[in-house]
Amino acid sequence: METISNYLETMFKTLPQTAEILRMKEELLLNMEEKYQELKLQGCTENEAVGKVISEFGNIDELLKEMDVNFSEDNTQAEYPEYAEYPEEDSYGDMPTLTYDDAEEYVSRMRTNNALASVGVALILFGVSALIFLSELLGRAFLAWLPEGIRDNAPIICFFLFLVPAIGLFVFSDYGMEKHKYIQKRHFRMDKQTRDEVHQMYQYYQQMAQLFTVVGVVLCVLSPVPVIAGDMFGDSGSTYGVCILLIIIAIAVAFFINGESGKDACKKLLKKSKKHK
Amino acid sequence: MISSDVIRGYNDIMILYLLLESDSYGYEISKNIRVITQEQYIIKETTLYSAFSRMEKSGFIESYFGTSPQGKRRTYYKITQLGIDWYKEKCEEWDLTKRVVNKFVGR
Repeated sequence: METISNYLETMFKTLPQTAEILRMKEELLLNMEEKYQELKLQGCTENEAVGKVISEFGNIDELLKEMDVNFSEDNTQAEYPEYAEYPEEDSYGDMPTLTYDDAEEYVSRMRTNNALASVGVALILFGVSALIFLSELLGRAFLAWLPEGIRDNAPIICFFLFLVPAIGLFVFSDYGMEKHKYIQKRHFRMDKQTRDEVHQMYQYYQQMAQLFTVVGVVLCVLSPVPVIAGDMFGDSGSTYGVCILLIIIAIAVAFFINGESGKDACKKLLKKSKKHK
Repeated sequence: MISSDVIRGYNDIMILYLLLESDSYGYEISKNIRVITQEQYIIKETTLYSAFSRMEKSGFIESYFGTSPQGKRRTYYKITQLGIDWYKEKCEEWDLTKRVVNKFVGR
């Protein structure tokens, strides 16, 4: 009889320990044990009874098909070769199961936070731009009636006016991540359907990332144009050109960051780590 | 003994037929199928449970917990009105299948 439960254990070994599957295993064991007992009563030997019970077990895949779960390793490899080394079956036991809603919430939180961070980066670059702009302007005797103290310090004060909210945004961009920590640590599992849905979402964000990257690169390439153009109007012109360059770079960086964020979040969900291409 | 490929699709009929008589559980159903068919068809464990799972999701049967004589928790199944309708439908389907195939049998 030990043999029967060992056989079942082996059959179920690579499957996640969800309530549905455990219940199924328990039922099957009970069923097989009853069959075994009855065969023994009919005069079968131990070996005959065990052999008959096991030969009438069938094919475990037939069962899994009905249960919407297919965690067998072969399947993972076939469909998602890039993370074939996951999942680690042994550690499934205490992992929470991720629903599509959880996944969606995580992705949208990541995107919001990245957007906040990108605004922060942009503010700093705007600040530098303003600093250069004001220095140049005030250095050329503009608003000459202002006291010298103000004229000397105005650019740097202006810079800090941009810096402070930027720092605030950086701090705030980590907001709400505590809840999703287990995803960052890749401590979860997902059923096949959710995984497929997330995979679709990933493909969508991948396209978006490509588009955003193209826009960002174009902006970067174009960014020196104001400097060159400004140079035609003298030194001061090229300095103003640099101010515009910084603003364009800031926008380009925002495109880079926001383009990647959705894709990266999906990657995390699919347990696709960067080292695997 | 009949191969499971041939009979696939008619396991539901057998299970529902037995449930029409009375509520039952896994082993009893598989035993009854074996007895009624005089061991010409033995339903595999996985076939039986995938049928339970599928039919429960479709609302043809309902499950509830009972206790086995050894005091273990056991799942009993009960046919629903939807299941009764499905059973009748499958019977008609089989009747038709049988008549069609019979036209080509016995030359």
